[in-house]
Amino acid sequence: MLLEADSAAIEAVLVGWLAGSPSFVRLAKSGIHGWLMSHTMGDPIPLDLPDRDLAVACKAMKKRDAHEYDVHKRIVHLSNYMGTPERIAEEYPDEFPDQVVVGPRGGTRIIPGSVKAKQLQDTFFATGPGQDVRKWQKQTLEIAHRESVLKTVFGVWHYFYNVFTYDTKSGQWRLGEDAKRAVAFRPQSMASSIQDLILLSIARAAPWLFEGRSSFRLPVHDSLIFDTPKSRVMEAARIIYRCFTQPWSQLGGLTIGAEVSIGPNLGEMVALNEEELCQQSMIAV
Amino acid sequence: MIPSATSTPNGPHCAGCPSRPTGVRYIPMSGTGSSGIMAVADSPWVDEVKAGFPFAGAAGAMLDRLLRKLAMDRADLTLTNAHHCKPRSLGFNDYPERFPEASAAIEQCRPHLDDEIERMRPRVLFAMGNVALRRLTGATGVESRHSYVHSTSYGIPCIPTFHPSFLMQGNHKLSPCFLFALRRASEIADGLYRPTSYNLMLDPSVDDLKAYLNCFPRDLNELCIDIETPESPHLDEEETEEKGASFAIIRWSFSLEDGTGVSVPHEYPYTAVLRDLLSRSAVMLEYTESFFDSKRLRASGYPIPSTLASPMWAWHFLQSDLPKGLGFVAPFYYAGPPWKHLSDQQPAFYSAMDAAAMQSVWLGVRGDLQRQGRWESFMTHCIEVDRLYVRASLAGVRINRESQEALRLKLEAERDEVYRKLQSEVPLSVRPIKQWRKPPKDMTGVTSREMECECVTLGLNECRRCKGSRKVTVYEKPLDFNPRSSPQVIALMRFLGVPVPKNRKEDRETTEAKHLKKLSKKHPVFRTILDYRERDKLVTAYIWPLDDQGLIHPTIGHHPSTWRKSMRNPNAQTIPKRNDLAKAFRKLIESETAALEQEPGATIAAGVMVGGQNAS
Repeated sequence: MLLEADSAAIEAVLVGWLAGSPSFVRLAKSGIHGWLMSHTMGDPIPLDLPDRDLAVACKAMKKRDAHEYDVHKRIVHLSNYMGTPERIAEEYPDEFPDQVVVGPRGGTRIIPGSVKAKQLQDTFFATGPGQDVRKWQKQTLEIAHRESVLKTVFGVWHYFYNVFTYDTKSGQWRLGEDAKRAVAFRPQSMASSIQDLILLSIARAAPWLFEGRSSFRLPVHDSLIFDTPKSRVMEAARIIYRCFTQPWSQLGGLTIGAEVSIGPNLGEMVALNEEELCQQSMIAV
Repeated sequence: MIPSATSTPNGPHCAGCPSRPTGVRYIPMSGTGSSGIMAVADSPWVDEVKAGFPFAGAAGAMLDRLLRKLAMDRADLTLTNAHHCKPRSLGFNDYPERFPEASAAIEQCRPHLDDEIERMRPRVLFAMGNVALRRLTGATGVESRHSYVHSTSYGIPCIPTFHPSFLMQGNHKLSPCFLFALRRASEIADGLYRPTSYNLMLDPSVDDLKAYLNCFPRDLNELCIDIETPESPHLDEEETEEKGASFAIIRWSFSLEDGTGVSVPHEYPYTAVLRDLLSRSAVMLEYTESFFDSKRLRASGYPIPSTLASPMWAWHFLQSDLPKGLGFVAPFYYAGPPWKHLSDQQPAFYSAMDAAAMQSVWLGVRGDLQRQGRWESFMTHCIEVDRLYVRASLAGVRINRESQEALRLKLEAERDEVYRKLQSEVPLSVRPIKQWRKPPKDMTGVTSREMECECVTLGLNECRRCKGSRKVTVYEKPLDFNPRSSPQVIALMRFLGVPVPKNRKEDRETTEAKHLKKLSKKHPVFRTILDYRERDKLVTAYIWPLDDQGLIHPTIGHHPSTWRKSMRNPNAQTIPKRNDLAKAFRKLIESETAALEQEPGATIAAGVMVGGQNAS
């Protein structure tokens, strides 16, 4: 039986952690795209809701309008890594199409998709969690420029030599070619490091998954794919879920959610619910 | 050599120079040379002509910034060029094969530089960029030559590095390499340079080899090993897997301690020694990260140590932004002349040096990572986790062969259908046309027309094509429109009066999907092109070749600088996620237990041999 385990919104959660924004972390876990959508629709979901209610309210936005939900998802993802409205519109023309507007005298004009992207991005950065992200981006660029290196808590370093560049014509500093990579580096690298540690902790907690012919078969981005005997699939699922959702001491005890699904092939996977996954496992992680 | 008095612009040595009359812009050397270093670049440009001294423009500002980092000043150096006049265009000197006059001009300028070297008598030459490297040493390829100590015809050592202008053009990450090379040049100039000394055993007798190995304990820890195949010296071993490089081993080399290297042919009785050596080692170090060496050794039946590691991984963990090839990395841990160009002339020396340098790199990088407190991180995120990835790769992923074949046929049929639809949508005038001067054998779809002859006459003879009539018949057939061809898609855009989109970063015309998607709203033909490309990509990229047991064995690597995992042969991380075909594709990846349920009587072979490789 195939078993696929996937870290939920890991990079968004890490952005929130790096930004020192508990509200962003909470929203990333609950569904920040839906939350932003509620803001642009003029009916903001209050942040003081209990976790479960917040998640339900955010998910309800997706049911309300799946297309708009996707639009907001693009805004959050790309804005976290300093994507400009032009870049967002260029990357996702389906979500941000150019609009033909008929004027009062019957003439038409085209409003580029980037205008909508900018409006939504402005809304995002006007919120408290959005401002936290903006501040973190600025700090990250300054550190990368000053020290030429960014370091993660997992010991991965990356050097950056052109974060800001001085434009002699305008006499001003502008973003250099390393700027956006510098902002994206730590969340992306840390997500990968966490996946390594998850895999190693699974190997410690359930060595039988790696003995003989390995049941672990494939990593695909933030997910790990196993092929386990049907009789032991639930045992494996519970251990793997615990490994994925363990608190990370390097990140002050931060936890990251996980989705685990099983099926005969990757096209017919069925997600396991949290109750099934949280049943007591005898093996400590 | 010319007397210094004549080393002037438009002097007698400039006669016949391809750069003349631009010789009036002759830029002489500058600086006191008090450090004993003469830095040579390619040629002056506009800013230098205006200012009258080398490195006056943006590249000069970059050079000053770099020098400041080592508390040096440009006045400490002698700054000059291989070609003392402004060339006719940028890049003129960089491509001698494209501009033979450039080589001639540099050669013409030789006496000027010779004279400057004679007058300044520097203790070291510092070649900045390929043009200077070629001029001073005759060698090419600054990336694989940087920071090595080269000999020159002047009897003065030369240290090559990158040109400051190259660093400015998106290569800032190489700035530390420039500084490293300059430090090495300073060491030579100050008499502080100490070359690395290697003890190499080249083709020793088997008794001598055994005696040497007896000096080590029975259980060895780390074994640096390098094998040579008939083509490996001429290929990038990282890229050979796709090119079907041979598995024949002709030579093997190893190093067990720093400063040593041994190279022997791959033939009996040395093969028995190799087998013994591999069985005694706990860790096998091979430089390439595509397991080039271990794959070939395993295929030849040698026992492979339980842990494989690559000094290249360690280097990448230390400096993820820099190139990873041994030729590039070695000078940071080895001081001496280059050897990578000797693969044909001195194969044993070349191979032993590879093994010895690999050992130096491994130990040197380990020391650096330990000093940074990152060695444990490297062991965790690379070596320990890689063992699990190697096991995953060996176990493989089951692909449903029948469903894959069905999907392939379906995709190909759909693709061909879209292709036919596209041909009817594209106007005839946009399609490429094949022309013949004589009627082709198959005249299907061929039309003919008369046109003016571009008469070709030899001497007084009449034109052989038109026989003097000035008219010729040409035969033409419109070919199919190729939706994968960017020039053809751009031609279609122009025909439809659509502004051709540009790649914002590279300032070039593009036919990327996101732009075609946008254009398709007004011109549906671009949607058809996208449909074709999507299906074609699925056929070519995702219908992976399977082994005998219906498995794929992707190799998981550590390429990205974020230390995310990369994958190749095939890259199964690019499973389509969102489009309508994704589900059909994801269905192909199935559980083996599910497959067994469909194949009564089949059993799971635990620890199976997979593709000739047993799980380590």
